Amino acid sequence: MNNPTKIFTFLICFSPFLTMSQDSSKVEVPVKQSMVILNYYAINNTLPYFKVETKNKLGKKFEPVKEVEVSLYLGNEESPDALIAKLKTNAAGEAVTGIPGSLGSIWKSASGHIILAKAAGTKNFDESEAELSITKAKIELDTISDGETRSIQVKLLKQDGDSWIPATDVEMKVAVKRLGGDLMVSEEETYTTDSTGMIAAEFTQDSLPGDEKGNLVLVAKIEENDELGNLYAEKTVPWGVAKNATNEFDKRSLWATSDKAPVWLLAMAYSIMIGVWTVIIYLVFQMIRIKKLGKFNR
Amino acid sequence: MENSTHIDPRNITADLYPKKFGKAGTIWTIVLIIICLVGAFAYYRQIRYGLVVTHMRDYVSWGIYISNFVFFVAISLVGSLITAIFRLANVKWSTPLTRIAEIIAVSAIAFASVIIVVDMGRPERFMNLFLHGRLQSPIMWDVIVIATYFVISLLLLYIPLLPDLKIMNKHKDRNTKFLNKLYTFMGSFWQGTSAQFKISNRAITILCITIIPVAFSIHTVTSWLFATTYRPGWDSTNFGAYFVSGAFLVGSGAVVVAMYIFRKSYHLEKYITGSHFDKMGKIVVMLALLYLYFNVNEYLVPAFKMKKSEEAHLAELFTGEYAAMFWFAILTGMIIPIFILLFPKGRRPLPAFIAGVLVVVGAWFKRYLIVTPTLLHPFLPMQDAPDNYFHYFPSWEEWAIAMGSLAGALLIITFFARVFPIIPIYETVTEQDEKLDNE
Repeated sequence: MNNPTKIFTFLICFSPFLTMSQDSSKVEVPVKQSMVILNYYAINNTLPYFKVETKNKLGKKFEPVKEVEVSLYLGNEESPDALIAKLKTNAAGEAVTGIPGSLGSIWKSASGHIILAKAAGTKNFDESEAELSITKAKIELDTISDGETRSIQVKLLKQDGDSWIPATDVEMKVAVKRLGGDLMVSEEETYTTDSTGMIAAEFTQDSLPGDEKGNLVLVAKIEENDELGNLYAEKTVPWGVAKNATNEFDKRSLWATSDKAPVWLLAMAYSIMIGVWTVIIYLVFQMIRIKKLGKFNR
Repeated sequence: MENSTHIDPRNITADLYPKKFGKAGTIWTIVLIIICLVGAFAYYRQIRYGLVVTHMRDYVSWGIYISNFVFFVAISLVGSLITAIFRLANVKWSTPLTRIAEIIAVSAIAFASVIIVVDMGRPERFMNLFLHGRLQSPIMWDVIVIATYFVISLLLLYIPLLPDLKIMNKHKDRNTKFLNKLYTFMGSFWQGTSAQFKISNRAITILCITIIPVAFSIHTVTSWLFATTYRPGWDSTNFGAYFVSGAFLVGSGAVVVAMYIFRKSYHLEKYITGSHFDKMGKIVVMLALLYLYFNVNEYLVPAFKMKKSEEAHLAELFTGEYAAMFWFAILTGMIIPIFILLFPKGRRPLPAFIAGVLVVVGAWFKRYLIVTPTLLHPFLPMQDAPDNYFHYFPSWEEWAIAMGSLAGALLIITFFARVFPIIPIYETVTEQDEKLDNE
């Protein structure tokens, strides 16, 4: 092989390795900004809980930071008596806690509270804090059905001293709980409470599959409201179509377990296997015959 | 052009008798053993630390190992082409090539099995395939058909070897002690009686008939591992024929390469002649054109429709991250060999050898391109994953194991050629005698 041919062959054969090398160009490192996010939740008007999230903001991206110690205080001062909990964030940079019994009476005594979250600094996370001011509120979910039309009435009340007063001008979602998320009950995406704290939503979802009895779960929720936090209430109603689930678990199919393979597949596969391996076994016997003939002649 | 009409039958045995490694052969063997040992060490690391030593992650879960597996399965198909199809078609000129093709097939299919176990990560769970395997899964079909093809290929290698073993057993003084024991064990019963020949000829014919559908099945089933999956680049009804045509091409390319190396190393110019290169060259051109046709189908039709899911995959291949490798594979695997081998001068031994090397190298990268880019384009968006999940480049352990397996296959062929005649002695003598009788 002459030299140009050798060089050409070498380049052709090795060019993919050259092009497969990784891009090593420098990437500008964005400035890190650590933050703690505090949220308040009340599900079905029961005991509330708080969720803290620790994140680093890198450019436009938020990255959760795990193993960050966060102290939650009832009130805006760091006092051992007001400590709700000392939390450590998980792999998703989240931690959750309820109100401890020791602070139950203080929690009940007022209609609104300030919560302070103080996150300790770590190697990847700078010390930071967040404050949340919330007013206690509750959702009353009711339904009206007259045979032809179905509507949902939601009343939102917030605590004011010892009494509950309507919470007005609050945006709320009313939906049906489904497997992969919530389905709006009508074309309206959100509703706003009126001067009596009420909203009325017409249920226009017809023939929606429910459980075996035709039950659907209605939900009313307020998300990230500055004053009330996150509230969520649900109610089960028999407005769906009863699901008549047929269990095909025991039937033979391509996606079943090995002992339930379709008969046609088994017949085809085994007949081919038996056919080919019979030939192979026959040939092995022929080899034995050849061997015997050899010994006999010897 | 050279041909084999003027060989003195008395010299054939001496010419074709297995020879000890020369200096080049020894160096070649040592290099292969070293590559295998590096691969074995990398595999030890994979067993010790788990598949995390590879760069395969959630998205690219089939990397270089599966590309290598598909390559091995493809190259193994040549045994059925040269041995079975040519024998059944009564093509006499292929006699010196049959054993080369068969040992390539056996070594390739053996290492296809090895590399699939390597890809499993937990080799001790291999038996679970048989204990709990689902016959509904194409992976199970692949296991069955590979085992079957391996047994048939071994028989097709062994039975035609029997008359040669008799010759080896006759020349005990030329063999080492170990080889004499081996030849005695394998073929002392062969007396060459007409009854034995009758049975063996019949057995070979049956094997030739059986191996063709099994060979087609082996690569069709391998293609179904991909085509039964609804993914860009794999979702094709054409995949079986596409894979089989590509397999015949790479196998033929490999035979041309092996022909040239054996001819040079063992001075077999009288047996593997220019005429053989000319004929094999024409076959490679035909197969390259056929494979090119299937490639046009595989890429042009989806590119014409440009479904959203296929778009990113095709863009990546044609102009994106994999474009250099894609065009390299198309050019070296098909276009350049066609242009070289289309002309009589290109079908002379050296250019044909270069074309064969290009076909084999191009085919290896083609398998990489079939397996990997598709996995980087799932239907659901790739998000909330570490950066290295979005790209794939094999780790050194993966390269070492893949190269070790290739070296292992070459080592089997090398040792086989040291122990057994790489060109059938008995058949060559018989054919020469027939020619002389006819003249």
